[in-house]
Amino acid sequence: MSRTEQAVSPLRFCFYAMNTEVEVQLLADREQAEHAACLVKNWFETQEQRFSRFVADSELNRLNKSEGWVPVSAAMDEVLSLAYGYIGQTEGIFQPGISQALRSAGYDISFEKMQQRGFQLPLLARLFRTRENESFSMSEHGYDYSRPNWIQREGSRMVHLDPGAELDLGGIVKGWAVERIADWLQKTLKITAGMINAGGDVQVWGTKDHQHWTLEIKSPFSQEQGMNGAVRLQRGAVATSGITRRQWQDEHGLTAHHLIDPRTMEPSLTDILQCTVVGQHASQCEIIAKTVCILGSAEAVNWLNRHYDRHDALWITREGNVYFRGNTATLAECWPGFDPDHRFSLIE
Amino acid sequence: MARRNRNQWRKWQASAAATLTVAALFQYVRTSDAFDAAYAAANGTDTGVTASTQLDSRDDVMDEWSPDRKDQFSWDADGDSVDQNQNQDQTKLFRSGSESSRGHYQSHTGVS
Repeated sequence: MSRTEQAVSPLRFCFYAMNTEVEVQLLADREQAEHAACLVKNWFETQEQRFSRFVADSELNRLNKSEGWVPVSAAMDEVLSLAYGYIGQTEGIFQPGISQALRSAGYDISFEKMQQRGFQLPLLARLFRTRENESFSMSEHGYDYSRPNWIQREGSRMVHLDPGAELDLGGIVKGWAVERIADWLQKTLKITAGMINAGGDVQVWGTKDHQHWTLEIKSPFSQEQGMNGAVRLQRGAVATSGITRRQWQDEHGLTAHHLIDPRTMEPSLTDILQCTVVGQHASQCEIIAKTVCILGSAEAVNWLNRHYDRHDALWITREGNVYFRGNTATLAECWPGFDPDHRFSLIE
Repeated sequence: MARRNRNQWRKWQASAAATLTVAALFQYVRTSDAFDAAYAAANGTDTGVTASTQLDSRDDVMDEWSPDRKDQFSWDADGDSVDQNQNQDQTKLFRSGSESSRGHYQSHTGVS
């Protein structure tokens, strides 16, 4: 392939990190693109080692075992600061202090190892089974989900966890890592167009000559049910969250998933299978998509309206209904293939 | 009228008390001995000195990553990577033909 050809068509790389597939597309010559892809891979592996609760010596696990004030890395400091803000934005629905609840629900090892346990029920059977309220409940111990359970002092990179607090940053780190490395590739390596996609958390950028990225949204249903569509954008972020993939059976044989509702500290009982959000920052889109999924359709619309949220959000329910809340004027252009059953405009 | 004024005064008092409580909490954190000791141990300095990295416009997160020193992957003749450090099953990096055409790039998003 000549350099000219490479310059008009991005090169694509894939690797596995953070328990998901990471896809990188870069508009650059081969040498630069290969070098950049290596760096991106290293970046994700570095952050996985830092933030995973399944890596025994990760910084997160060391922080969770700490007492009193402890120093943290710049990355940990930044992610905790972001998380602090998102707790407020989501009224506590995004809550990193759910580590114990995840463990109690059976998510005590990486999802890939859980799958190897091999006692999965068929998907639909798993989706429509209900849970009994007999697992771990921090609400019984006076736990306040609506506030962070750690303190940071700005500029010091020092953190103090509440006694007994245990953080899980899995709900934010993937999106943060995506937007951070995408920004770095643009500013430092001067890559004119590209895309970073970590398991559905996507950041894209381009130039006027390369106008659109089209991201197909995988339906939670089979192809035959015709619920397929895409997102089109030149620059920005897309994130999808949902309950259909990371599901398992707990020790009682009940269906569990990884979206914990901090109000009950159990996997949320939601009517939403998956939600896709479009915005500027992958981490913010990821948090909003998760929050919408946890809240369910009715509460999600109210929450988005209360905060005058400006993101486009599209979600699909168990009944197969498609909801859209966002800029309805650009719906057809930005969300090709979708014809939502319920549409909600932005609050001005 | 007097009752209304009294209620408003009480609301103002409650609001002021809440504000002062939050301010006191922050002040406690700023001046806590435990914080000072931990900060000094971690940084070899006292809390009155802000780390130089906080004062300039450097990106501390990317600086601490220092990728150049860790860039140890290479590519074989087919464009596949040969990972020198890690388990091949988990970390093989590959390059495939782009699915894109000029001005219209494609990928996918979904639940992960």
